Amino acid sequence: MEDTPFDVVILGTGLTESVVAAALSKWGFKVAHVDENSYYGGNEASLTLDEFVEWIDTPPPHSSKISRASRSSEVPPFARQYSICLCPTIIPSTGPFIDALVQSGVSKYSSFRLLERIAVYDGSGGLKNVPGSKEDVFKNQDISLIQKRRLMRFLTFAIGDFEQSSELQDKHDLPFTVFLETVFRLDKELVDVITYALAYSNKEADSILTILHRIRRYLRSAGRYGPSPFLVGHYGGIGEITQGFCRAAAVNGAVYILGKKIISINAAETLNQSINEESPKSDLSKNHPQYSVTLEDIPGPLRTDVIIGTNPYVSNQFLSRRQYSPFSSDLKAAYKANPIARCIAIIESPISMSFPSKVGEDDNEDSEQEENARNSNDKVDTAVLVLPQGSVSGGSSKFSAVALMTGEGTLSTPKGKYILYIALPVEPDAAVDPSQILHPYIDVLLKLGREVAQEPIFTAFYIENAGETSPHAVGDPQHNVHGSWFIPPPVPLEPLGDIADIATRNAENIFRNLLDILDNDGEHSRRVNTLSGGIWPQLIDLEEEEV
Amino acid sequence: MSIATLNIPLHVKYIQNLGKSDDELMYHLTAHLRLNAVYWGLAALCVMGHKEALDRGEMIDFVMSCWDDEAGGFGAHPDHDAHLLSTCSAIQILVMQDALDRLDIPRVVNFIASLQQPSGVFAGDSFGEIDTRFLYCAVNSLSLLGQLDKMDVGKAVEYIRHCRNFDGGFGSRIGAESHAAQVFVCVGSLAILDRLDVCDADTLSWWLSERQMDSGGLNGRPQKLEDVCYSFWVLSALSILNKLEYIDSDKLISFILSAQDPEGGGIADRPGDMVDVFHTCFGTAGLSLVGYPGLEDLDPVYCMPAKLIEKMGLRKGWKALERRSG
Amino acid sequence: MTMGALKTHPKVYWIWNHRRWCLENIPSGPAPAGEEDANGWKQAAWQKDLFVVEQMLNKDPRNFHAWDYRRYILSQIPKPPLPKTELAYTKAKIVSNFSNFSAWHQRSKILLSLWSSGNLDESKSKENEFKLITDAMYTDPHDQSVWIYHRWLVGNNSTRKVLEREISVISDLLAEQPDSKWCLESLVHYKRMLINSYKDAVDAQALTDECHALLLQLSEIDPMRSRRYKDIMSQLNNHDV
Repeated sequence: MEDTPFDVVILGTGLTESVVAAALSKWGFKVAHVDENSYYGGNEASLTLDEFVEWIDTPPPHSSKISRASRSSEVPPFARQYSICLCPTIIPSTGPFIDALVQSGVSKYSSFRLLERIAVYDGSGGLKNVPGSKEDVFKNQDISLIQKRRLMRFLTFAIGDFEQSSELQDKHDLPFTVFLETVFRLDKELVDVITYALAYSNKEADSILTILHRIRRYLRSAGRYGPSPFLVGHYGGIGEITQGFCRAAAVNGAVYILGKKIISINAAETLNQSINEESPKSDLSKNHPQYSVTLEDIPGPLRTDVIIGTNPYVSNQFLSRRQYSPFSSDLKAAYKANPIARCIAIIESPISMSFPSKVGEDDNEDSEQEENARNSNDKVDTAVLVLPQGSVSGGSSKFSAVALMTGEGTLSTPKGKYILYIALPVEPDAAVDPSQILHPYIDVLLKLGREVAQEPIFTAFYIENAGETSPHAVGDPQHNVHGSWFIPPPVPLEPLGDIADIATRNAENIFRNLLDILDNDGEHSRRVNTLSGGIWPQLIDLEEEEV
Repeated sequence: MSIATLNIPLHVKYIQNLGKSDDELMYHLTAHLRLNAVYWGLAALCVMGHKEALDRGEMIDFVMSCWDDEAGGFGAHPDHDAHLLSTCSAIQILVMQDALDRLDIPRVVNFIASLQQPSGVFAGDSFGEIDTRFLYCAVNSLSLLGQLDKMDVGKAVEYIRHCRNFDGGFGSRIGAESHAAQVFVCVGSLAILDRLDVCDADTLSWWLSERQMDSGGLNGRPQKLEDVCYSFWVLSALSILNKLEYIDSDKLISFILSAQDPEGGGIADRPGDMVDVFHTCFGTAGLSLVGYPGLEDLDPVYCMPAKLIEKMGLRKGWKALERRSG
Repeated sequence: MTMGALKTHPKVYWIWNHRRWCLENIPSGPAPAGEEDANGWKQAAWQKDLFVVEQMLNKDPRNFHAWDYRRYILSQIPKPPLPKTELAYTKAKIVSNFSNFSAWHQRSKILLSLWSSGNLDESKSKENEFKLITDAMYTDPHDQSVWIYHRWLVGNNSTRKVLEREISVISDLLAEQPDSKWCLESLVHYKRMLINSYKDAVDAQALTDECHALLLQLSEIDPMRSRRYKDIMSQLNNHDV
């Protein structure tokens, strides 16, 4: 390996790390990006069915993320034509993630499809529409006139600048559902639809503002690329895009090493002595890099001042002193999130999204049009279905489950096949069998709109934990500011429309903190100030660009 | 920043300078509207009481250089084919400059009359596009020339009647959506032809009054943006119906004034946009109709100086708001 | 050729007109005149323009040149689509954005022609329209397209039953949305209609009083048009029994 040290060595090619890599390379930092896996994306990877089966059978080393995995013994043919995403996601059309994509140029390597439908299970074998826009409310036939008016008032409130509004005055501590019932006088059915399928709220503890901000983000995303606020990535979604960020980093000079074991990470002796809280920056000298990372089959260690890497790579010798987290308080919450029971099923007919037609509705001119609408409903390729708590018999009475279906329209399946991702939060320490608790949901979904339930041709189940072991010594932030090993917070497991934006925001935080550390000679800050384009330093008021 | 008054000297200068920048790209891009632009400039100057700011002789020479001798009408620009829009502008200019003696009246009347279609509406030129705008141009021009008997008035009125929509407004042709500019041309034509009975005055004045938006500006159709040019079209129709007070003139005045360019002069479609002579004309015209102080009276039917139209004996029963004192 | 120009200048009159002229002057196809194929050639050209216009309306659903042109094509095309297809088209446009008054306008024209030709049962179809417009009015009472269309639907010759029903639908909405100018304005309009058309069957004095109260409220929340409300008030007084 070459002798000149790297500015940063990044361990792991998950979403957060890859976005940071793209940004650092873009701004002229010298980056080495390492992953022990032979594929990109880490916990957010998109895998072929073959790779996925291998992943299920032998989860990656160091990982306590996945447990209780099981799968069908038969693997269907054309396994290589599937792209299965370990991190099912929908992407709001506006927000930090899509901005980063566009501004880094990664959008040129990635393609999307608009999410076609969002529906809620009605508890009795049918689906309800989720009215997320004026047009949805207008054409919805399940809502009474008065409720339409109230729902529109809520949507107008939620898309606007509600922070100082009279509706919210003294209401911050109400549970969100009570807020909807009392302030907007919405009936229970609509309250549930809004809470579970517009806000994807699964935690009673979510504050009103958290939920309202999320709804506003989604509402404001509608209309940018089409009527739906959400995009679904082609070829397995977020995993493919993660790889796109790595490609962008490589184009800007980042060095990529995949599929090589990390043999050791050593700290330079001098530095252990010279930790000095009064003048921390003098410690980071280019001539004496702190770390040397030794990889299997790679001659010579990678030398660097700064490491970014998730927990499994942090060997014990660094845990006490070298940890750095700019998010110490957020981080605790991130690690405390509920685990998710996941099912991945491959089916041969799309879930039927047709809604029961109203009697006496279609008498005259619209019959042809409604016919078309019905047909297109049956052909939905990409959809999200929310199954609220208590709506599925034998299912959870505490959490709602969310299912994402992607078909050949997302270029992630062979012709005529569909991947169904089901996710249901579970209690942290419950010893549950994911296949057992998810079966009632699969039964409901595969029976929708059919006489006889369809049989999946493949299923896999597992529990995914929020993050690996949480850092033990997050300690005093004042002290930690001088650290040089960054631990990105785990990518959240839900809600599926927030995952990419939260990871991107975390990546930006890491990037900005890194700038402070790396920038002791002022060289980069000059560059950052004078260069145009790119992610982040100019991000604040860049013009909108079309994907 | 609020601009409280109409900066007349600056707008006069803006209009004077328009003709001087003929090397600019926009000049060539707007060649198909050149003669109309001269009319807009002159009308705006008349409203501001500075008719003399553009040289009369030069202007008349330019108008005459647009004469298409083959067709017997005026093109928008020298060597352009004759069109009803530019022919109307030419006649309006010649009337305002008292230069009708330069015009071959029988030929131009013949040209105009030849464009009337069997349905009663007029085509703009020999390509045959039809529009109630062309009908207005024909009616306006022929009445200025005292030759209304050369067209089939009955059929023209019937055509307008068929353009009337349930909202009281009028469209560009039968079946078309109501639009404030088309309302002006239809109501203006009916006024000239003394057939205002064809209007559904109550419904129309309701529709027109609803053109005013919270900003004070007027739009041309429901759920569209406000634009200074509608200040004239909506107001002209309202003043012909004698219902000008159905809009809030104070708010409209401040909207128009806020669309002025305080440095280069001229008025834009809305605050902050690029100015042009078209919006400068219709902005000042609108201000005149609602009685803005220091302006000359404008005849809303012809969009020409009221004194002149009155002198010609063509004044109809419209009512503008009383001129405010400065 | 004109396509590029239309994309950049979708509102310039003469470009549309030039397209029109071209279409009208399309020669018959290569097949001998009078045979099926000769017209097929023309049909294809018109069909293509219908498609172009739909693209334009997808971009700017209020471009009235495009709507005019659409009406023109539909009136000239050798084999016109069924009128009900055009009705469905306006419905689709309305459903995708009901502030699009151009689509409501077109819908009113198509319905009138379908009713008068007997292709559609007028009273049944009107009921459907009332349902559609009621959904729209409850969804967004601030949208004037909706109220203008409603006014067309009620028309000048509505039965007392329809007037009273619509008054009650709007009153319910007003109770939910007390600041709705359009509710107030429409109530005045329809109540005046009741007074004028069914003088002997209704309590004209009570209705007049209600109108007065509504007009006072209107002057307050919509001061820009207060002169109009004043005029209506004095007309009410003149009509008094």
